[in-house]
Amino acid sequence: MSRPSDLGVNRTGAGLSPIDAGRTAQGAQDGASGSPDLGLADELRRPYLEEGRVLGSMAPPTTLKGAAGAAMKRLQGESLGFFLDLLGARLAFERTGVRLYEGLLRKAKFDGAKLPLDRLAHIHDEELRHAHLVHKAIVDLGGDPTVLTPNADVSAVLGMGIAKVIQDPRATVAQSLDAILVAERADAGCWDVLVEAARSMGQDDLASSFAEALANEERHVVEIDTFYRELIYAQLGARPQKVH
Amino acid sequence: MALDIMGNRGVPIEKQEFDWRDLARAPYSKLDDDAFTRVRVILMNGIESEALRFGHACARMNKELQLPLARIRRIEQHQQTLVNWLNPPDQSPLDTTIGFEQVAIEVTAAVAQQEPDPYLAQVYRFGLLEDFDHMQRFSALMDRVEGKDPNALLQNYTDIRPGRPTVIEHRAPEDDLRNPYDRRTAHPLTRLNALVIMAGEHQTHDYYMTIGPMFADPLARQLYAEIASIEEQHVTQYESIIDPTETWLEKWLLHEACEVYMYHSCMEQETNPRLKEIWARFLDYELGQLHFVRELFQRIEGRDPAQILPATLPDPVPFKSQRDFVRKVLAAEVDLRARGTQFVPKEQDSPASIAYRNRLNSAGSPSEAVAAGYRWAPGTELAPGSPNLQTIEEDVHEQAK
Repeated sequence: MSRPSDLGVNRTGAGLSPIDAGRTAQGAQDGASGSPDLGLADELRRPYLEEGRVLGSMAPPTTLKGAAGAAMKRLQGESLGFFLDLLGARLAFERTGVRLYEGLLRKAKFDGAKLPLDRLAHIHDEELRHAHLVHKAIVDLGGDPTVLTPNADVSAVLGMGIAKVIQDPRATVAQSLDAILVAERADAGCWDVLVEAARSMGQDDLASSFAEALANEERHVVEIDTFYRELIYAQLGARPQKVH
Repeated sequence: MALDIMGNRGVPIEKQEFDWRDLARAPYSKLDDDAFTRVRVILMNGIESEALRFGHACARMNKELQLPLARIRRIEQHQQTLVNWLNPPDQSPLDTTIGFEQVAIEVTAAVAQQEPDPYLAQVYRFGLLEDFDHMQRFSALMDRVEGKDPNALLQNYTDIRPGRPTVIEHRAPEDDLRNPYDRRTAHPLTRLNALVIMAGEHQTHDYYMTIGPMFADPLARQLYAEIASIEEQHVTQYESIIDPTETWLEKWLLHEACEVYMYHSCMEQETNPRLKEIWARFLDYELGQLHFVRELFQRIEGRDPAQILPATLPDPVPFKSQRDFVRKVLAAEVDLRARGTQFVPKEQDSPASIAYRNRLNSAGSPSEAVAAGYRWAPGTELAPGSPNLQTIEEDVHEQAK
């Protein structure tokens, strides 16, 4: 089976046909007219920005439940709504992350298990626990965890490329690890923001449990990064392959 | 409110104009707009797509109509752009697929209930349960591969549960053709219903054919291949219920009347004021086009359009949840099969269709694989308390051994 970086028949580079590439460049030069006016494109785009539309809005919290209700009275209106928006994004990301790890596990297993599959399964479980943590936080704040919040919508768009790489059977385990590393780094960054957000609103218990999730995510970044580098260095022949 | 289509001449076609800013408007919101706004946009894109499809087919066979067809088609094409471009870019192809199936379920169910011909009402109910099952399969794909909740798009209007299983929907071509209505006696609503549903299914087929290869997951690619094949069957079915002896001009007139009917239905029920204005504008355009074609019909065929068209349109197609009706049909008719032009109990299924489907399914069934044991739960299968959660966790650890 060929490996993606084996020297083969990639036809995309101009250097493959220097004469034809030169002719194409000359043709483009001969055909060009006028000097570049990037303002035209910006002018076309301006009215859409001026409309000031947004992707969508938040659903209002439905209830303030239990002990969290009294504590949450400090959070009113927009700040609670925005916090729920961020939590919605985290929940969506973690749920998708669970499915990404399922995809990675399937691929890694077929690849002959050079990766420790039990570690991938463990990370999968942690992502699921994080999803449930956020789910509970949303419910305790009186939110609806099934709402697709505006930031969850953004999260979904951001994640589409990552998912596509992992789902593609032609993308190697290394390429899939690269993709999931993008997700993990983003995830850790967002958990960090959530910890600070919870603390700034006086929600110390929530901040503590978010801090634990952040610590887990930071470990995920290190682990996945290690797995990825091992495979990359193995291909570079830079040092012997070492698997944790 | 009934629309007087003979008296109301709309906007003359010479005044039906656009510019690019007009055509590429801000889309609706995937989050804030009602699911039936999405349903209307998808449906009307399908209606306009059919206008173009018919217009080109007619032009290939009628030299003397090529110029008037080209004039009307140019306007319809721009209308289609304006409508289709209302879909937002944060709505992924799979999101839009869920929207397509919601159109198929809710609009076919509405049409089935308003269809005066009992045989044709059965045809719609038959197709309905198949599109209903497609929703289950695509929902499982969205949940299990992407971790997303299809109900965020369906907004609680439409059930997510198995219908007539996609795996047994595959039929030999001879079992997809139905009996057509008779153009001399058919109720106007019968003719309009057939055009609406045929247009919807043809667009759905073309959409799945376009996006299927964009998926990286082989299961998704196979699933789209499978369901696109069924949609072609549905187009065959719905096309066959239309009297093929209608003249080209008769068909053109009916197409324009259908477009008037549908824009009117959309306008009456639209909750987004911006889109309501678009439906109202295009209703006026279609009335103008209808009168243009009426005059051609009178001049070329020497017939009175009132022979074909009602003076006033039927009540608008309702855009609302048809959940109760769908459940009743599901309970009573899920085990029906098709044999020739008739519907039969599954024990009498067509041998030709059985052989055909066995061949197609011989390397496995993507629709079965994607949704094995799938039960929709709020917030996906991964939500706390979801019935499938434990199985998922066990499977993952089994994989890791």
